[in-house]
Amino acid sequence: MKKYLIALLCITGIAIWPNVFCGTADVLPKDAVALGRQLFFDTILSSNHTISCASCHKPEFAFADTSAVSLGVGGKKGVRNTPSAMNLNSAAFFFWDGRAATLEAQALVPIANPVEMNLPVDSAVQRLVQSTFYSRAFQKIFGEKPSPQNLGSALAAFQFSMETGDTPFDDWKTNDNDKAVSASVKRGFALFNGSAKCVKCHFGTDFSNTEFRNIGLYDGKTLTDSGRAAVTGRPEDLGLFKIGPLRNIALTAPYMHNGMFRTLRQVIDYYNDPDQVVPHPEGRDSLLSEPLNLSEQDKQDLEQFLRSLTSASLVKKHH
Amino acid sequence: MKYNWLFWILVLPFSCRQQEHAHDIYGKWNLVFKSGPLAEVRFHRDGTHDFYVDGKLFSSGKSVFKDDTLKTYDPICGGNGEYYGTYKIDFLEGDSIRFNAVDDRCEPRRFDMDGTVLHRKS
Repeated sequence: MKKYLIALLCITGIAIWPNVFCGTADVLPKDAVALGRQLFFDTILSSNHTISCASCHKPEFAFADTSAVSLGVGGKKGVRNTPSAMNLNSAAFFFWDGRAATLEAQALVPIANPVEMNLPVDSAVQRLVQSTFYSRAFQKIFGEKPSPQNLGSALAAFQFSMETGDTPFDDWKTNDNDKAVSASVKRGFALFNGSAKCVKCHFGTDFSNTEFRNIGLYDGKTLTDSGRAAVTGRPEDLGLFKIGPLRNIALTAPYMHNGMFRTLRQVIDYYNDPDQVVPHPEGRDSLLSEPLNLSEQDKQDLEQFLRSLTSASLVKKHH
Repeated sequence: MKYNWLFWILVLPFSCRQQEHAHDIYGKWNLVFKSGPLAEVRFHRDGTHDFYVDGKLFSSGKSVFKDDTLKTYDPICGGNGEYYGTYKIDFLEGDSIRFNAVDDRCEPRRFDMDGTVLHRKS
């Protein structure tokens, strides 16, 4: 009996020993980015502890979702497609209707949204204050206890850190590696910049611009999301939505604010002749007034170009 | 006196060549915006140019360079046609150039380019 007791004490001692010297397994994050990452993946920010930011912004899909609209707590359906949370450094507005002017402000909205995480921000902050780990982490990084402001800052810091520039396209254009992409990608880029007119809206480092455009997905009948007008209250803003960035677009299907197109090819077909899909749009941009008359080869080339905007690191994760 | 002539005969061709090189805009150029981002412009001999911000391509266009004048087209400027803005180029010391707008109705481009100094990337 005495032998068993000694053995038990030894095993317990071995188990406890590392923690005496190494501290707990919960190592505090080193900076706001690391803290933001931890929060992004933590269900502590949802009312019933089932949803985290990453539940809808899935890492393997460039931090977007694969559903037309995401499901929040209790399986509640959202109303718009979840955009990628990557490559946001050049963004001037956030959300499809641009209702948040900063990423810090944007980061708090899904927490409180009843169809997303459904937890009032003050309650979320209270949970963090009561958590020994988060309380210490915020104190270490921000020098104060958790608050709505530093919660937003941490989540934004993480998202701002997710810039990708390691794509075949970048290797071709930035690193002058002519063999990084196929002839089809090069033809697709020429079309994108030329007769397909994509560049009129999708330009800049993330192919996003900072404007809102009506691409014809509002008809007041079956397509009724008023977009930017819900924020500004101006009738002329009906059907305007933020121009989305195109980096990693091959991983972020389905597409558009309502996720109505399941593939890149459907998107290209739509732009080629929008009337075939939405015959009576309201306020559609004049850039889309005439069909593009793209050939089958043109469409394939455009798709190949878009696929060349996929980060190599994400491709590895994806497979 | 004889040696003076010899000096000019030897030096003049090299001097002309150097002058020619200084008036070449092809290659890579840097500029730093007051707001912080580091930008790079690459003028290619095939008549195209690329503009990068923080290491990522921002836009690609076409350029025609002759004497001290640059005519430049960017697809994000203007309507559906090819509209070229015109800029006079000052060749500065230290292998730098400055653009001076002569005629450009594309306001964002004019705002970015007029008076801007580029430094040749080594």
